[in-house]
Amino acid sequence: MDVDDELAELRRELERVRGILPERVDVDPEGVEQGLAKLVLTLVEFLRQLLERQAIRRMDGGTLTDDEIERVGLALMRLEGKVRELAQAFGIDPDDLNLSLGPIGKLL
Amino acid sequence: MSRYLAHVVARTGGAPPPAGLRGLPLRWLDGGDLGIWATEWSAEPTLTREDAFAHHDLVGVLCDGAPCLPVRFGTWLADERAARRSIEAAHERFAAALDRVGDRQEVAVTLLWRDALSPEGRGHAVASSGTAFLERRRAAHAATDERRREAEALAARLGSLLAADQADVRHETCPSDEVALSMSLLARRGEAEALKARAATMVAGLSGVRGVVSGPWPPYSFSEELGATGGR
Repeated sequence: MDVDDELAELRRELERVRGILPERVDVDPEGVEQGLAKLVLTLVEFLRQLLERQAIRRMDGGTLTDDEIERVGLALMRLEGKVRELAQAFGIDPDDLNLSLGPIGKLL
Repeated sequence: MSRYLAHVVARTGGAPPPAGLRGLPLRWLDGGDLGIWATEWSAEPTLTREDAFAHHDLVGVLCDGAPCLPVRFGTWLADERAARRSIEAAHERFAAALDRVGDRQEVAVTLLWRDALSPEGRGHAVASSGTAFLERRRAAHAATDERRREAEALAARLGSLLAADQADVRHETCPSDEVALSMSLLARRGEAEALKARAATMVAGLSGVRGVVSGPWPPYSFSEELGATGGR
Protein backbone atom coordinates (compact mmCIF):
# COMPACT_ATOMS: atom_id res chain seq x y z
CA MET A 1 0.00 0.00 0.00
CA ASP A 2 1.60 3.34 -1.02
CA VAL A 3 1.24 6.71 0.68
CA ASP A 4 -1.70 7.78 -1.53
CA ASP A 5 -3.61 4.63 -0.67
CA GLU A 6 -2.95 5.18 3.02
CA LEU A 7 -4.12 8.79 2.80
CA ALA A 8 -7.25 7.70 0.95
CA GLU A 9 -7.97 5.11 3.64
CA LEU A 10 -7.44 7.71 6.36
CA ARG A 11 -9.73 10.15 4.53
CA ARG A 12 -12.47 7.53 4.25
CA GLU A 13 -12.13 6.79 7.95
CA LEU A 14 -12.39 10.50 8.82
CA GLU A 15 -15.49 10.86 6.64
CA ARG A 16 -17.05 7.92 8.42
CA VAL A 17 -16.24 9.37 11.85
CA ARG A 18 -17.50 12.83 10.89
CA GLY A 19 -20.84 11.30 10.04
CA ILE A 20 -21.25 9.62 13.39
CA LEU A 21 -19.83 12.09 15.90
CA PRO A 22 -22.38 13.62 18.29
CA GLU A 23 -24.06 16.70 16.85
CA ARG A 24 -24.40 18.40 20.20
CA VAL A 25 -21.56 19.41 22.51
CA ASP A 26 -22.03 20.30 26.17
CA VAL A 27 -21.26 24.03 26.36
CA ASP A 28 -21.42 24.32 30.15
CA PRO A 29 -18.92 27.20 30.76
CA GLU A 30 -17.34 25.31 33.68
CA GLY A 31 -16.58 22.24 31.63
CA VAL A 32 -16.13 23.52 28.10
CA GLU A 33 -12.32 23.60 28.20
CA GLN A 34 -12.07 20.07 29.54
CA GLY A 35 -14.81 18.87 27.20
CA LEU A 36 -13.07 20.32 24.17
CA ALA A 37 -9.70 18.91 25.27
CA LYS A 38 -11.28 15.50 25.67
CA LEU A 39 -12.85 15.64 22.21
CA VAL A 40 -9.60 16.73 20.52
CA LEU A 41 -7.42 14.25 22.41
CA THR A 42 -9.86 11.44 21.65
CA LEU A 43 -9.64 12.18 17.94
CA VAL A 44 -5.83 12.39 18.11
CA GLU A 45 -5.73 9.06 19.95
CA PHE A 46 -8.12 7.57 17.41
CA LEU A 47 -5.82 8.60 14.55
CA ARG A 48 -2.78 7.40 16.48
CA GLN A 49 -4.36 3.97 16.94
CA LEU A 50 -5.28 3.87 13.27
CA LEU A 51 -1.68 4.58 12.29
CA GLU A 52 -0.47 2.03 14.83
CA ARG A 53 -2.68 -0.71 13.33
CA GLN A 54 -1.42 0.23 9.88
CA ALA A 55 2.21 0.17 11.03
CA ILE A 56 1.72 -3.29 12.57
CA ARG A 57 0.09 -4.54 9.35
CA ARG A 58 3.05 -3.26 7.37
CA MET A 59 5.50 -4.71 9.89
CA ASP A 60 3.80 -8.11 9.53
CA GLY A 61 3.71 -7.73 5.76
CA GLY A 62 7.45 -7.11 5.62
CA THR A 63 7.16 -3.76 3.86
CA LEU A 64 9.07 -1.82 6.53
CA THR A 65 12.80 -2.03 7.20
CA ASP A 66 14.03 -2.58 10.76
CA ASP A 67 15.05 1.07 10.91
CA GLU A 68 11.61 2.22 9.74
CA ILE A 69 9.89 -0.03 12.30
CA GLU A 70 12.04 1.45 15.04
CA ARG A 71 11.33 5.05 13.97
CA VAL A 72 7.58 4.55 13.50
CA GLY A 73 7.32 2.68 16.79
CA LEU A 74 9.22 5.40 18.63
CA ALA A 75 7.03 8.14 17.13
CA LEU A 76 3.81 6.31 18.05
CA MET A 77 5.09 5.57 21.57
CA ARG A 78 6.01 9.22 22.15
CA LEU A 79 2.70 10.41 20.72
CA GLU A 80 0.82 8.06 23.04
CA GLY A 81 2.84 9.35 26.00
CA LYS A 82 2.10 12.96 25.02
CA VAL A 83 -1.64 12.29 24.65
CA ARG A 84 -1.75 10.71 28.11
CA GLU A 85 0.31 13.56 29.57
CA LEU A 86 -2.00 16.22 28.07
CA ALA A 87 -5.09 14.32 29.23
CA GLN A 88 -3.80 14.32 32.79
CA ALA A 89 -2.96 18.03 32.54
CA PHE A 90 -6.66 18.67 31.74
CA GLY A 91 -7.80 16.45 34.60
CA ILE A 92 -8.93 13.67 32.25
CA ASP A 93 -8.26 10.00 32.94
CA PRO A 94 -6.50 8.83 29.74
CA ASP A 95 -8.62 5.66 29.83
CA ASP A 96 -11.71 7.87 29.48
CA LEU A 97 -10.62 9.17 26.06
CA ASN A 98 -13.50 7.81 24.04
CA LEU A 99 -16.77 8.80 22.39
CA SER A 100 -20.06 6.99 22.57
CA LEU A 101 -21.43 6.48 19.08
CA GLY A 102 -24.85 5.32 20.25
CA PRO A 103 -26.07 1.97 19.02
CA ILE A 104 -22.87 1.19 17.11
CA GLY A 105 -20.74 1.35 20.24
CA LYS A 106 -17.69 3.44 21.08
CA LEU A 107 -15.09 5.11 18.90
CA LEU A 108 -12.07 3.45 20.56
CA MET B 1 -39.56 31.07 33.98
CA SER B 2 -40.32 27.36 34.30
CA ARG B 3 -38.12 24.58 32.95
CA TYR B 4 -39.20 20.97 32.59
CA LEU B 5 -37.16 17.83 33.29
CA ALA B 6 -38.68 15.06 31.18
CA HIS B 7 -39.35 11.58 32.62
CA VAL B 8 -41.46 9.57 30.17
CA VAL B 9 -43.38 9.80 26.91
CA ALA B 10 -46.87 8.31 27.23
CA ARG B 11 -50.29 8.31 25.67
CA THR B 12 -52.84 10.86 26.79
CA GLY B 13 -55.20 9.69 29.52
CA GLY B 14 -52.86 7.99 32.01
CA ALA B 15 -53.49 7.69 35.74
CA PRO B 16 -52.95 10.77 37.96
CA PRO B 17 -49.25 10.78 38.89
CA PRO B 18 -47.44 11.36 42.18
CA ALA B 19 -45.24 14.45 42.71
CA GLY B 20 -42.13 15.04 40.62
CA LEU B 21 -38.48 15.15 41.68
CA ARG B 22 -37.69 16.86 45.03
CA GLY B 23 -41.45 17.09 45.67
CA LEU B 24 -41.91 19.59 42.82
CA PRO B 25 -45.03 19.55 40.62
CA LEU B 26 -45.22 16.85 37.97
CA ARG B 27 -46.76 18.24 34.78
CA TRP B 28 -48.35 16.64 31.73
CA LEU B 29 -46.90 18.38 28.66
CA ASP B 30 -49.52 17.75 26.05
CA GLY B 31 -48.48 16.88 22.51
CA GLY B 32 -51.75 15.64 21.04
CA ASP B 33 -52.39 11.92 21.50
CA LEU B 34 -48.96 11.62 23.14
CA GLY B 35 -47.40 13.71 25.88
CA ILE B 36 -44.53 13.93 28.34
CA TRP B 37 -44.58 13.68 32.12
CA ALA B 38 -42.02 16.18 33.43
CA THR B 39 -41.03 17.86 36.69
CA GLU B 40 -41.52 21.63 36.65
CA TRP B 41 -38.64 23.72 38.07
CA SER B 42 -38.47 27.46 38.51
CA ALA B 43 -34.84 27.41 37.29
CA GLU B 44 -32.54 24.75 35.82
CA PRO B 45 -30.61 23.34 38.80
CA THR B 46 -27.48 21.22 38.95
CA LEU B 47 -28.78 17.68 39.03
CA THR B 48 -27.34 15.25 41.54
CA ARG B 49 -26.81 11.51 41.81
CA GLU B 50 -29.86 11.41 44.11
CA ASP B 51 -31.91 13.11 41.39
CA ALA B 52 -30.85 10.38 38.95
CA PHE B 53 -32.06 7.66 41.33
CA ALA B 54 -35.28 9.61 41.99
CA HIS B 55 -35.84 9.94 38.21
CA HIS B 56 -35.34 6.17 37.84
CA ASP B 57 -37.86 5.48 40.66
CA LEU B 58 -40.38 7.92 39.20
CA VAL B 59 -40.06 6.42 35.72
CA GLY B 60 -40.72 3.02 37.30
CA VAL B 61 -43.89 4.28 39.01
CA LEU B 62 -45.14 5.95 35.82
CA CYS B 63 -44.45 2.82 33.74
CA ASP B 64 -46.29 0.68 36.30
CA GLY B 65 -49.35 2.86 35.75
CA ALA B 66 -49.49 2.91 31.95
CA PRO B 67 -47.35 2.04 28.90
CA CYS B 68 -44.46 4.53 28.80
CA LEU B 69 -41.18 5.24 27.08
CA PRO B 70 -38.54 6.28 29.60
CA VAL B 71 -36.65 9.45 28.75
CA ARG B 72 -32.91 9.72 29.34
CA PHE B 73 -32.15 11.44 32.67
CA GLY B 74 -31.16 15.08 32.25
CA THR B 75 -33.37 15.86 29.24
CA TRP B 76 -34.69 19.41 29.71
CA LEU B 77 -37.55 21.05 27.85
CA ALA B 78 -37.84 24.83 27.71
CA ASP B 79 -41.64 24.92 27.71
CA GLU B 80 -44.78 23.15 26.51
CA ARG B 81 -44.16 24.23 22.93
CA ALA B 82 -40.73 22.56 23.02
CA ALA B 83 -42.37 19.37 24.28
CA ARG B 84 -44.93 19.51 21.49
CA ARG B 85 -42.21 20.08 18.88
CA SER B 86 -40.21 17.10 20.23
CA ILE B 87 -43.21 14.82 19.99
CA GLU B 88 -44.29 16.06 16.57
CA ALA B 89 -40.77 15.60 15.20
CA ALA B 90 -40.79 11.88 16.05
CA HIS B 91 -44.44 11.07 16.52
CA GLU B 92 -44.45 7.92 14.41
CA ARG B 93 -41.32 6.54 16.08
CA PHE B 94 -42.69 7.24 19.55
CA ALA B 95 -46.07 5.70 18.76
CA ALA B 96 -44.47 2.60 17.27
CA ALA B 97 -42.05 2.27 20.20
CA LEU B 98 -44.90 2.65 22.69
CA ASP B 99 -46.80 -0.14 20.93
CA ARG B 100 -43.76 -2.40 20.91
CA VAL B 101 -42.04 -1.80 24.26
CA GLY B 102 -44.36 0.47 26.28
CA ASP B 103 -45.73 -2.34 28.42
CA ARG B 104 -42.52 -4.34 28.62
CA GLN B 105 -39.61 -4.43 31.02
CA GLU B 106 -35.89 -4.78 30.57
CA VAL B 107 -33.50 -7.24 32.20
CA ALA B 108 -29.78 -6.44 32.04
CA VAL B 109 -26.96 -8.97 31.92
CA THR B 110 -23.39 -7.86 32.51
CA LEU B 111 -20.49 -10.27 32.14
CA LEU B 112 -17.18 -9.33 33.76
CA TRP B 113 -13.90 -10.98 32.81
CA ARG B 114 -12.47 -12.98 35.68
CA ASP B 115 -8.98 -11.98 34.49
CA ALA B 116 -9.26 -8.46 33.04
CA LEU B 117 -6.27 -7.38 30.95
CA SER B 118 -3.79 -5.28 32.90
CA PRO B 119 -2.53 -1.95 31.48
CA GLU B 120 0.65 -3.83 30.52
CA GLY B 121 -1.46 -6.48 28.80
CA ARG B 122 -3.10 -3.68 26.83
CA GLY B 123 0.35 -2.49 25.81
CA HIS B 124 0.34 0.74 27.82
CA ALA B 125 3.69 0.29 29.56
CA VAL B 126 6.68 2.26 28.23
CA ALA B 127 8.84 0.08 25.99
CA SER B 128 12.62 0.06 25.69
CA SER B 129 12.54 0.80 21.93
CA GLY B 130 10.17 1.65 19.10
CA THR B 131 10.31 -1.91 17.82
CA ALA B 132 9.56 -3.33 21.27
CA PHE B 133 6.63 -0.89 21.55
CA LEU B 134 5.09 -2.07 18.26
CA GLU B 135 5.64 -5.74 19.13
CA ARG B 136 3.99 -5.21 22.49
CA ARG B 137 1.06 -3.45 20.84
CA ARG B 138 0.73 -6.24 18.29
CA ALA B 139 0.40 -8.76 21.15
CA ALA B 140 -2.08 -6.46 22.92
CA HIS B 141 -4.22 -6.08 19.78
CA ALA B 142 -4.22 -9.85 19.31
CA ALA B 143 -5.33 -10.31 22.94
CA THR B 144 -8.14 -7.74 22.70
CA ASP B 145 -9.29 -9.09 19.32
CA GLU B 146 -9.49 -12.55 20.85
CA ARG B 147 -11.42 -11.15 23.81
CA ARG B 148 -13.87 -9.49 21.45
CA ARG B 149 -14.43 -12.76 19.57
CA GLU B 150 -15.06 -14.57 22.87
CA ALA B 151 -17.48 -11.84 23.95
CA GLU B 152 -19.36 -11.98 20.64
CA ALA B 153 -19.68 -15.75 20.99
CA LEU B 154 -21.06 -15.30 24.52
CA ALA B 155 -23.52 -12.68 23.26
CA ALA B 156 -24.75 -14.93 20.46
CA ARG B 157 -25.16 -17.86 22.84
CA LEU B 158 -27.00 -15.91 25.54
CA GLY B 159 -29.15 -14.03 23.04
CA SER B 160 -30.31 -17.19 21.30
CA LEU B 161 -31.04 -19.01 24.58
CA LEU B 162 -32.78 -16.16 26.40
CA ALA B 163 -34.76 -14.36 23.70
CA ALA B 164 -37.21 -15.81 21.20
CA ASP B 165 -36.99 -12.67 19.08
CA GLN B 166 -33.55 -11.14 18.44
CA ALA B 167 -35.22 -7.72 18.16
CA ASP B 168 -35.70 -8.05 21.92
CA VAL B 169 -31.94 -8.13 22.53
CA ARG B 170 -29.41 -5.27 22.54
CA HIS B 171 -25.80 -5.84 23.41
CA GLU B 172 -22.37 -4.26 23.45
CA THR B 173 -19.22 -6.36 23.64
CA CYS B 174 -16.14 -5.23 25.56
CA PRO B 175 -17.43 -1.74 26.49
CA SER B 176 -14.49 -1.53 28.92
CA ASP B 177 -11.45 -3.61 29.82
CA GLU B 178 -13.26 -5.27 32.72
CA VAL B 179 -16.60 -5.89 31.01
CA ALA B 180 -17.01 -8.64 28.40
CA LEU B 181 -20.66 -8.05 27.61
CA SER B 182 -23.43 -5.64 28.43
CA MET B 183 -26.76 -7.06 27.26
CA SER B 184 -30.35 -5.87 27.60
CA LEU B 185 -33.31 -8.19 27.11
CA LEU B 186 -36.97 -7.27 26.75
CA ALA B 187 -39.68 -9.22 28.53
CA ARG B 188 -43.41 -8.88 28.90
CA ARG B 189 -44.57 -7.56 32.25
CA GLY B 190 -45.09 -10.57 34.48
CA GLU B 191 -42.45 -12.59 32.63
CA ALA B 192 -39.46 -10.40 33.46
CA GLU B 193 -38.67 -12.00 36.82
CA ALA B 194 -38.71 -15.46 35.24
CA LEU B 195 -36.37 -14.23 32.49
CA LYS B 196 -34.08 -12.76 35.13
CA ALA B 197 -33.97 -16.10 36.97
CA ARG B 198 -33.20 -17.98 33.75
CA ALA B 199 -30.45 -15.49 32.87
CA ALA B 200 -28.91 -15.79 36.34
CA THR B 201 -28.82 -19.59 36.07
CA MET B 202 -27.31 -19.39 32.61
CA VAL B 203 -24.53 -16.92 33.39
CA ALA B 204 -23.58 -18.86 36.54
CA GLY B 205 -22.54 -21.73 34.27
CA LEU B 206 -20.23 -19.66 32.05
CA SER B 207 -16.49 -20.02 32.47
CA GLY B 208 -14.02 -17.16 32.35
CA VAL B 209 -16.60 -14.54 33.27
CA ARG B 210 -18.65 -13.48 36.28
CA GLY B 211 -22.27 -12.59 35.56
CA VAL B 212 -24.43 -9.87 37.10
CA VAL B 213 -28.14 -9.88 36.24
CA SER B 214 -30.11 -6.71 37.06
CA GLY B 215 -33.63 -5.35 36.69
CA PRO B 216 -36.33 -5.65 35.70
CA TRP B 217 -36.77 -1.96 35.02
CA PRO B 218 -38.38 0.23 32.34
CA PRO B 219 -37.12 -0.45 28.80
CA TYR B 220 -34.46 2.29 28.70
CA SER B 221 -32.29 0.53 26.12
CA PHE B 222 -35.18 0.06 23.69
CA SER B 223 -36.83 3.49 23.92
CA GLU B 224 -36.69 6.16 21.27
CA GLU B 225 -34.80 9.23 22.43
CA LEU B 226 -36.65 12.50 22.85
CA GLY B 227 -35.81 14.56 19.76
CA ALA B 228 -33.21 17.31 19.64
CA THR B 229 -35.77 19.96 18.81
CA GLY B 230 -36.81 20.65 22.37
CA GLY B 231 -34.70 18.49 24.67
CA ARG B 232 -30.99 18.72 25.09
